[in-house]
Amino acid sequence: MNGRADESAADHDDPSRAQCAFTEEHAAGYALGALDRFDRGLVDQHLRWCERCRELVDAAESVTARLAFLSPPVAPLSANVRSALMERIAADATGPIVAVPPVSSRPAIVSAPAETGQTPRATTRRWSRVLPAALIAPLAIALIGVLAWANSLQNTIDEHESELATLQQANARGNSAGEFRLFSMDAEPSCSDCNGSSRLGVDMDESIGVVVAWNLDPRKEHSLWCVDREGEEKWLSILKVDQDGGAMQTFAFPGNASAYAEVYIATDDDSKAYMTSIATPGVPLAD
Amino acid sequence: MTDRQGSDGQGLLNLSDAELMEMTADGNQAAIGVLYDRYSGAVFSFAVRILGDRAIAEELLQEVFFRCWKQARAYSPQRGSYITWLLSITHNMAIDELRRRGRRPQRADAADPALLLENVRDQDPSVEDRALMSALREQISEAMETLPAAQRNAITMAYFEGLTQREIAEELQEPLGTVKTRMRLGIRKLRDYLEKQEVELV
Repeated sequence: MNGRADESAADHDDPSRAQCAFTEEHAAGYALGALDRFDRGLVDQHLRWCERCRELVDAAESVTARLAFLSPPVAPLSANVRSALMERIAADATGPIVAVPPVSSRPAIVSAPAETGQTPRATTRRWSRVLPAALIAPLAIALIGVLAWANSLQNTIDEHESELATLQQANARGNSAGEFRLFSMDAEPSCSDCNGSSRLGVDMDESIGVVVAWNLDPRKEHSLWCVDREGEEKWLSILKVDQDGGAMQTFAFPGNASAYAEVYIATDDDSKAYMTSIATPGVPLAD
Repeated sequence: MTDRQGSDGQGLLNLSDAELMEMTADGNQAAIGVLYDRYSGAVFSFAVRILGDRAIAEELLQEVFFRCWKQARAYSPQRGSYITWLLSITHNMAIDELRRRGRRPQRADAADPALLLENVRDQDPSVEDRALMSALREQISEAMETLPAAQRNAITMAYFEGLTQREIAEELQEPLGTVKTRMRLGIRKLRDYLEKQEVELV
């Protein structure tokens, strides 16, 4: 993260220029797959809207793709491998998916940056792109509920039993309504720097969610990730943590939420500070 | 379009990669089969190189092509060749697998890159294809040879061994900024060299 530290004062006045400078510095590492999770997430975020930097990264990737040909030859594959693949494809009832998330680690461009020079808020753009207006209202209501609930929990954060009971009640309400489900996302014991806690709410029908967190370390940078049921990690967004260590953020899953098993918050030292599992419908929360 | 969507793979052999991907996106299973026949060798060699394990590489190969099947609409010919896209997916998935397993592959610095391109197209490449691949093979190898050893090493450790810039810096006991600079300069030199040679990826 030295690149961020090296940003000039002028760059701080123009966030989009700072992001371009950061991406330029890391384009080669990105194309080589050599960035850590957090830096890769920053570049991904920027590439959503910056056509110029995207071309820069494309150029680097056109070089790195050729490096693949420097691999040594191997004995031919057995025909069984092909047969197994074709059987799997034949058994795939749904076929190629219609709305595709990006295949590589790089997301698709959402839109061009505003001409005002303002840095586009990629998360907001994606949010508005994914969600029709009709869906915003119920989500907003849900968010208000979650926020109120989280605030009440903050007052009793040391009272774990009470907290869990509240969560279970909220979860039960969500399940019974079939709309919004809440999951626990407590700090892992390995996180020695903080006593952070967080809660995850997921609208399984709309594949959207909200994270409410508190007692995070505001000196660190945090990002939000999800893990699909095959174990592949996907970056969601930067988590904006206030000076008191609190955060509340909405996000959209890349695809159907049921395909994802976990959501976690990662810090800039690449540790997984907080994680939660997305429970299957009807299964009560684990203690 | 009707002919192309038949299940008989024979009629598909002369189609371009982009045409086959378009058909794959429409659910044509024979089309993805033809693409597999064309490129499974290259993907497999690459996966073995990164993972260092033939059995794991076979599993990954299937996952790569199944992903190509499921997400065929994500491919855009305007943004590059199919093989570039395919190898990019392979690289991402192989590195993820490598990191998940928490281990590194065997170094393969002494491998002869000349032989890999024999695997690029499995089905009787034409004379023109052979000539093109031969030229590409030599020029990529030459391009790497033009790099200073430190730049070449940084690129190799990242691309084939799945190490991050930070991990490379720690292993080499070099400043992180030095590693970043080596990668940046190395990729730029490779690009300049290949552009000067007017090398096109298959």
